[in-house]
Amino acid sequence: MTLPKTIDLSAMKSGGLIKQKEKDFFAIRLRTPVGKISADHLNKIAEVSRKYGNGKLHLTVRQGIEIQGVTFDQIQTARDELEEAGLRIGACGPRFRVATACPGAGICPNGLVDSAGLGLEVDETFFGRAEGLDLPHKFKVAIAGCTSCCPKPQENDFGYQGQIDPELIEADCDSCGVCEVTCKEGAIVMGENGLPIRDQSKCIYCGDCIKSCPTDAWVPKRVGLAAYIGGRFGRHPELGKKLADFVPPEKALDLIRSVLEFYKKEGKRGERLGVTVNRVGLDEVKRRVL
Amino acid sequence: MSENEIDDNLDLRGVLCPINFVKTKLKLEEMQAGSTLEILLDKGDPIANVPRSVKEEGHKIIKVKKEDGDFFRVMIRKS
Repeated sequence: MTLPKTIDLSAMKSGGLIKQKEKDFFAIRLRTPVGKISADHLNKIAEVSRKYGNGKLHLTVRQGIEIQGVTFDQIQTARDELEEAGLRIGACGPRFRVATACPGAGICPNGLVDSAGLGLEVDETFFGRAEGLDLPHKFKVAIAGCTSCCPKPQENDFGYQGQIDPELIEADCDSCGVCEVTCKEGAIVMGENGLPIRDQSKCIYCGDCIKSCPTDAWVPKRVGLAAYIGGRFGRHPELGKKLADFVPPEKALDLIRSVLEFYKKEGKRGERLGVTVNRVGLDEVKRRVL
Repeated sequence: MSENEIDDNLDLRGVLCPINFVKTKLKLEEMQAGSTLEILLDKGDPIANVPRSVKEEGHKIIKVKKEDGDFFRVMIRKS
């Protein structure tokens, strides 16, 4: 098969084109950060799949979409058509990958922070940018809006999870005891004076007491992000380690930037961030990035 | 109208989320503004979720009382 003249080889290097097992066929991986996609874009993807692919799509485990069965000589035309409609191509290889997140506070009743909004910001800031290219290995980020951690931030190289620190306005408490039975951590017991007592060492900052309180006596003292570092799956899975609690949302991008700088400097080629962190030591990593 | 006067009630013990909330919502819709609904909710998810959702709909939780037998008596004032 001859190389089509129109193919942009530098574009191929940026990733997002996955060679299939079958000769001359590729899958086009789309960049759909936080899995949010418009119905119009879905229509366009369907159209491109029918026109240039085999009419089949793959929903990836990272909230992405891949158009399968595109022949080598059609890739560029398919790409152009997708990009014209505002659809972008995803990544593979040692790069900052498309960020994943849950719908977050705007949609989910459990959400404590706008994880999807932050995910889009993270993606826009680091994907395909100098800071997110030429890394030792792939770099995955996931952002969860609450302590349920549906997008699995601890299984990513870097993860954020929303958290909330509760405070009791005693005058508003009518001693109903709902917080005591709602707290899944056993961190709240009703005291003899009828007011709840919170054991901070057991509290995981989930905010269930705030959300369930019928009289709004539990209120948020601060809202922030728990940061996890060095998680991965694959052959040797390891959960990410807690890097920090209550990172202010406005500092969220800065911390990722510091971690990427650290990883570029200390990570050996082919080494996931978790391995680098284990080698250097978490305390030293904290000293360097926080 | 006194705080403890009840206009209607629903026993939602044994009813799972979100059916318990939907039943509460439907009942509130057929009631007059300012009237009081008493509901019985199991501990666990029902007591954690239903009052919160009722609040989000704009109604007021007037009183919550823990009863023997792992359930709660919740008084709601319709907005």
